[in-house]
Order: sequence, then structure tokens, then C-alpha cells
Amino acid sequence: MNDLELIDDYFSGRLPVEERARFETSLQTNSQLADAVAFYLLARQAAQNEARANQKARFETLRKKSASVRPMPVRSRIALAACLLLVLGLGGYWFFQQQTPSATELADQYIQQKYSRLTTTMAEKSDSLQLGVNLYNDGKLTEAGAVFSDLLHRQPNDDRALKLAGLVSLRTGRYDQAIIFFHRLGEQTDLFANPGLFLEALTRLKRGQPTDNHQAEVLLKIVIGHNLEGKAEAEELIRKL
Amino acid sequence: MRFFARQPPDSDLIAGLLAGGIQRRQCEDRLYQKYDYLIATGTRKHRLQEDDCASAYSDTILTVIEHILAGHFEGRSELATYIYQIFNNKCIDLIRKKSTQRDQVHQAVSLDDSLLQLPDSARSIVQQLIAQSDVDRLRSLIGKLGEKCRDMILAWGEGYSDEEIARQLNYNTASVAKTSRLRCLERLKELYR
Repeated sequence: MNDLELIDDYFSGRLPVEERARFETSLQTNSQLADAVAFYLLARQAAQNEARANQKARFETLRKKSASVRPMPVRSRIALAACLLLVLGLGGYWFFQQQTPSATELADQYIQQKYSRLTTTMAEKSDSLQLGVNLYNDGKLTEAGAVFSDLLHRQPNDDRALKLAGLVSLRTGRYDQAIIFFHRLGEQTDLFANPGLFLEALTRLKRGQPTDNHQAEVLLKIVIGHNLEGKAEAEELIRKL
Repeated sequence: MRFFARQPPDSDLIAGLLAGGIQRRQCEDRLYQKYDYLIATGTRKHRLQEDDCASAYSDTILTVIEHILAGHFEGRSELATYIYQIFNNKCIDLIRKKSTQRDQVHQAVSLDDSLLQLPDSARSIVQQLIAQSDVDRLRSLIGKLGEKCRDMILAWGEGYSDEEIARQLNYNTASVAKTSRLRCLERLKELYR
């Protein structure tokens, strides 16, 4: 057994007790053995240092490689997930808003569908009303407006004339005038069905002045609360406001 | 995709380190990766450069691996806590080093443990001899050994047993690996003289 093997066995704990004691004794007197022990320990330290440096270099490579795909800490993942949800939520809301018409657009659609053409029964027995309705349906709104104004001049509180005059004003873009007609109609409390408040609300939505949306909302709530004509449409409109 | 990658439990990593061989190497890397967020924590908390923190973190992981292999880590605290404490101490050492210009705070390997095996009278003789030696020169000489010898000496330095070295470097038995290792040491000794 050469010196290095003996030393290796000693430091690995493989030497029997007697040989171990003999080794320790000779170490004090045998300078060659002491020198070999010093070399052995130094070589092991050098190997450890070198191995450690290699391992550190390997870790450094790992760090650089994983830097671009570093797993996120849990808190960052939660934050990112929250951001994604927010973006999806806002995106979804925006998409929903794009897909569903606004209150003004709904009002437009409603006016277009319901009042672009009037039923002749509205005119009933009055020749003047019948004439006005015919003109209205023919698209001659100015003439129809003149007929209804003349009728209102004679019968200022005629509910049918107020409604028709208001509709002519609404469709010709004279919203202020339309609001006056519908407001007067809405004030009448003795009618079986009174669309005055609902039509005023529609007109205010169309006019779009600063307080109009709020006032339209108040009117629509009254229509819903009192179960007045236009309640179903009012409920749909109020969800948009 | 590492974003969704699950980290292995500490118990599996410890078992893998103790198993040795290729499994040990894989577990070393995975242990390093599992807690590498500490580099950013150290950078932020101690206001150190990222590279310095990365170096301290590597030293931490290597120290923890040594402790696990030597049985010094007894599992009285969570491994994460253990790593954090060592890392924190290394960061503080780094700050001291920077403020006092004191070098060698990362001198992680010490001869003390080996020397303690020797009786007092013999220890002082060996210590004197070591003091006259040049460990850096010896390190550079390891690089001049052949590849197989170099790998073997480094594996020995990492604490692999002769059985593990035989498996890793394709020797028939641990005994053959040991004989080859001692021959490599002899060659290194000749180069050193």
C-alpha cells in the first residue's frame, strides 16, 4: 500500500484502529508521510474548490437560460391573472356595449318602428285628423303639422291632436316643440291610456341636452311605476341609461 | 412551459440528492431553480448587484447540498427557511466584504474538518506544510490532467463515493475506480513537485 492509498483510507475511515494509531504515530516522525498528507488534503481542497467553481458555473448557465422563461412567483401570477380578468372583463363589457344599442339608438329604433307610419284608426271620426294622418303617412310632415296645429288652435287640449302634433315635431327634429306637446299631453290625467310621458322621455333622449338623460330617466320611472303606456319599452330603455 | 411547471417537493429533492449519481445532479439543478427567486429578493432587500446575489445564492445552494449529504440538515426547519437563512447570511457577508474590502468571505471549503481528524501533534506539522503550499496552483494543475483524470478528481472533490464514480465514469468496480483515482492523484503530485 503506497502512501496516498494509506492516507486515503485514513481520511475515509477505512483503516482499522491499530493501523490508524500506527499511521498517526509515524506522521509525527516521517516527514515524507507528513508531506504526502499535506498534499492529499490540499489536493482535496483544490478539487473541492474546482468542483464548486464548476457547479457555480453550471448554476449560472441555468440562471441565464431560465431568465427568459423564469417561472413567476405566486404573487405575480395572481396579479397577472387579475389583470387578465380585468382586461377580459373590460373587453367583454366593451364588446357587449358595441353589440347592444344605446338608449338614444333604442329611442330611434322605437320611433322608427312605431311612428314612421300611423294607423288610420287614430283619426277616428275627425276629418281634419284623418287628413293629417294621411299626410303624415305620405311623408308630408310639414303639411300634416299644419293640420294638427290648426286643430289644436281650435281644441287646445285634444289629446289626439297633441300626440300627432308632437310626433310631427319629433320626426322633423323640432324637439323643443315636441316636448311641449307631449308634456301637455302627459299632464292630462283623465285619459284611459296616455303615452305623453313616455313620448316626452323619448324626445328628451333624442334631443340630448345636458339634463335630458336624467329627466328622461325620471319620466321613464314614472311610466313604469304608474304602469302607463310604453311601460315595457321604458323598462328596456332605463336599463340602457 | 415553466410558467405552469410544478416544483418538486423538498422531500423528493432531498431523497434525490441522497440517491447520488445522475439523480443527484438533476436534483441539484432543480433545487437551484426552485428557490432562484431569492436572487431577486436579495437584490431588492440588500441592494446588491444581481450577479453578486446570484453568486451568493449559488454558494448557498452548494452549502445546503453539502449539509444534506453530510447529514447536517436534520429537517428541524423547512428547507426553504434553511436556505433563506444561509442565503441571508451570505448576502450580509457580501455587504461586509464590500464595505471592508475583506476578501475570501466566500471561501466555502475549509481544511479544518479534515485536519480535525488528525491528533493535535500531527495536525500542527501538516498545517505548517499546508501553509507553505499553493492551492491555486494545484487547482490550475487539475486542469492539466487528462479529461478522465480531471473528471475523476472533480467527482471526488464533489464528495462522490468510489461506487458512484465507478458508475458515472464506467469503471467495472469501485475498487478499480479507487485505484484509478489514486493514480490520478499521484500524477497530480508529480506535476505539483
